[in-house]
Amino acid sequence: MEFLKNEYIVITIKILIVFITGIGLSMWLSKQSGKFFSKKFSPQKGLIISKLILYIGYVIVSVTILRELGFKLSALFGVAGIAGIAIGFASQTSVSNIISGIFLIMEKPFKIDDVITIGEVTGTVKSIDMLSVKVRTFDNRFVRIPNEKIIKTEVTNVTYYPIRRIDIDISIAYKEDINKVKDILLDLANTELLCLRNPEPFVTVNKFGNSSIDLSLLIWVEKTEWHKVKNIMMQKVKEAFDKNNIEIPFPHLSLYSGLETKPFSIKIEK
Amino acid sequence: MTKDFIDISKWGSFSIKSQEIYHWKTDKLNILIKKENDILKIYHYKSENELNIDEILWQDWLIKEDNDLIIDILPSYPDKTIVLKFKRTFSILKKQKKQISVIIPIWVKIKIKQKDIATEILTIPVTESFKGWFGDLSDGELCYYITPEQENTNNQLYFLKLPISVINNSEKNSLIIEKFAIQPKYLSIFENQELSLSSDDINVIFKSDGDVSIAMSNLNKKSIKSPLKEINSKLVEKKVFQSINLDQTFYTYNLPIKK
Repeated sequence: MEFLKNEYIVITIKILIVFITGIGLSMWLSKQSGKFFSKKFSPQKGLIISKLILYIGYVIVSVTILRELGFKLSALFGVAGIAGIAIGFASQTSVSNIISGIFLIMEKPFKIDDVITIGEVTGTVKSIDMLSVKVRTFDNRFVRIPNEKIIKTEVTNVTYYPIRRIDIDISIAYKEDINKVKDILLDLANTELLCLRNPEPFVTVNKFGNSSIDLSLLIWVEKTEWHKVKNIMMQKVKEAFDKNNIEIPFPHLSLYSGLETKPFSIKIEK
Repeated sequence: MTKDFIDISKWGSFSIKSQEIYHWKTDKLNILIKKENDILKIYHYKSENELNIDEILWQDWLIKEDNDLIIDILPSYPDKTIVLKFKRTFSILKKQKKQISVIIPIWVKIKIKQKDIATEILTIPVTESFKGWFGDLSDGELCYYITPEQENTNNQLYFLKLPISVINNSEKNSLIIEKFAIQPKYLSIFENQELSLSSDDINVIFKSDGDVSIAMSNLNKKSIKSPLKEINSKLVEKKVFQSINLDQTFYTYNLPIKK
């Protein structure tokens, strides 16, 4: 009995030592590797590697403790295999998200603080995690997008390049002089400090619409100034058109009755 | 309104006393500096804007409360690469040299000095410059686009002269110049006897297709800010790392110095 007691005490002490040092070491290694890989590569890669090391550490500690307790590991692995298949079926979505997350981190279509559009959601990336990407929309909503969905759908990274183009669509009346309007628009862009000088601002004539000639003013800006400049330029275009008596038309509809060139008469009854 | 201010409109060091307002001005930019106990207050505005002293929104810096606060007001280059975009392109025939002397607006750098420790606190452009992209749309750099002015601009004290020589050593091709990109962090600023400012002498040497080098020399000049001095050299040869041949137009770009 005394012998058995001693043996239990020894095993308990062993298990405690393995547990405390194993868990401690795993956490320390995970933290250090997380810091190292975050600095060396990116915060997302650091996070994944640190978590991977932590989980491997937990598995090693668990297996060592079970062996100390006298479990036969071959039998345990057999049970684990069967359990694994069952868990695998149950956690298909999670595993798919984790794998998608790894692909996302490797492919790097966006990073934290980029502005992205996925489906109908546009916002700033706040975190890229194992299962999902967290986005804060401009009206301050929190959106969690599963990694699997991001892999499957089209993602637009709005702020990938340092400069962006603003296309301002403008309609003018048919009576207006296109060259004069072009000069006014280019002058507006060339005198606004926030509009880039290169690539140069440009005006295109897009189409002859039902009631108007449709133009576009194309200007390049720094990505952080996109909304501000668009707002400024829209207002300036309206002000410049008012000042120069350029008409921005609204849809006109002509009704004819009978002869093609002759308008029908309207009779107003009192 | 400004008659109560102490005028300090020149480059150099100034001792700032509490409660006084110091005024540094050009025809385009005004800077007001004031010290209140342990707070340094700076306000800058364009000359065309009217000043209402009671409505000033000062920028504050917490400093050590010290009687002898020294402020350095120095000329500076912009914080980005400068692209000199000429009003008209010009050609240099083979085996010919052309001197181009252009002036660009200067930036004003303010440093505070307390107990021999200098801290840069603000850099302000004398005039706002347009920005533009230099290089390919997916791989380039945001720069200041400056259309160089001729030397007869008024108030030249607040402009900087760039003496550029372009030498076409090619035996086959004429060189058509549309714009230069110059990285100012490798340029010095010199003050001439008339107190006007100039950069190093910049020599752009075109040898053959895509082979351009930029050399700088700063002989016999009194330096205000000199990165070249730090590397103990009077002539630095630099290879071009970006040179684009586009419809016979060559864009030159200077390289970080490799010792």
